[in-house]
Amino acid sequence: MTRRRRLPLLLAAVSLAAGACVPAAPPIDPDAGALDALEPLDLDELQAAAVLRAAREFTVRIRALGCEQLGTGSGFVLNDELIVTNRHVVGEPRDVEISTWDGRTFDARVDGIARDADLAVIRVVGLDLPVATVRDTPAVIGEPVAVIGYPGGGGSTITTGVVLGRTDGPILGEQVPAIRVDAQVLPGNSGGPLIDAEGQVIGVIFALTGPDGDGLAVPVDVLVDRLERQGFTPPSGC
Amino acid sequence: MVTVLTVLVLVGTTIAGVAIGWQQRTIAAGWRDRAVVLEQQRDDAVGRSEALSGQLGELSTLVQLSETDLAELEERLAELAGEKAQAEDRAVLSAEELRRLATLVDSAVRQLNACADDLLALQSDTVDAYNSVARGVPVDVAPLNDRLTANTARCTSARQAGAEAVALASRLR
Repeated sequence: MTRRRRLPLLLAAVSLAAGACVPAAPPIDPDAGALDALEPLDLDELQAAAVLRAAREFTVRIRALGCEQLGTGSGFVLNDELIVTNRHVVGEPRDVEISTWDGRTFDARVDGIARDADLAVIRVVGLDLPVATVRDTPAVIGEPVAVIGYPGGGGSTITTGVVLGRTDGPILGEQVPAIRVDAQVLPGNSGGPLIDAEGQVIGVIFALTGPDGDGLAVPVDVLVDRLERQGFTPPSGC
Repeated sequence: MVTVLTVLVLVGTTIAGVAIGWQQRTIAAGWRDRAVVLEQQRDDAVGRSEALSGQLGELSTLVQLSETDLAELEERLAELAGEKAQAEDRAVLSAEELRRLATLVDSAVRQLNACADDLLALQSDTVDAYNSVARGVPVDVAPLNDRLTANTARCTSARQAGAEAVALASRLR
């Protein structure tokens, strides 16, 4: 084919190619989203509030009329009927009552006390409260904790702090280890739960010590051990 | 011949180009129309999104307010529960004090009765001893003195029990 013959075909091909081009679709506006105007939720704060709310609900106030005097303390719900507290709160019980965070009062019976640890379990029928979750790993130094209880026989309080350490030897006459925390602990907090950031129980508050009033708690593994090997005995009478 | 063919091809090509150009303008017009519609739809969607965002924001505010209200109500409930528990403490203490008062009164009454019985017996025995002495019969007064001492202690104890009961009753008034 000569050059003169190819030219018309070339022109035709160019025309067809040019005619075959179609306009591009309009671009999408990237600023169309209006959801940026929403304030981000503070999930950490909501989570912390939910944890503390639940912890307060499974923490109870204990009124124990002993042989000589009336005493008050704290405790927490372990299951539908059992509440954990301190031996020194309900050691010589004549009459024991439980008050819940929402104002209900129940008669209770001391099921058993641990002779080698400041722990006791009491039984309540008809208790309809959230149940505490017991952590199966030990407390870690520096981890944030909260102490829930009824200090001074008053209303429910929550104090926060961190784990300072663990005492392995006997302390304050108790033969078991203790967790030391810097959260404020007052008389009446005895028997209340020491919880971690997830709301799981890691200890049972039983004393305060030292010049700064550090709190002491029975590690929860001691409680679990006594429960598993039935290390609780009936309390002595008056 | 070649020239004629070339002219025919060029004419045909031109006609085809014009036809294709017209077709492309038609397609472009269709795209423009479609773009306008899509833009309107997008604007509508953005408007709805903004409206929903506003509603969501209002709901979020309401939820936060409800959460705050709930927290305040729970706090108030906890305060009232604390006051109720403390009132129950006082009731238990009062009941315990009443029980102690009853025990003290019972003890004081028993001791006072014993004191009175002993005193009456001692008085009778003292009169007998006095009459014996008057008749010239010798009397050993040591047992009487011992009984007097014991009775005095018993009566003192009874008085103390009575005083404790009175004091406790005064506190309970």
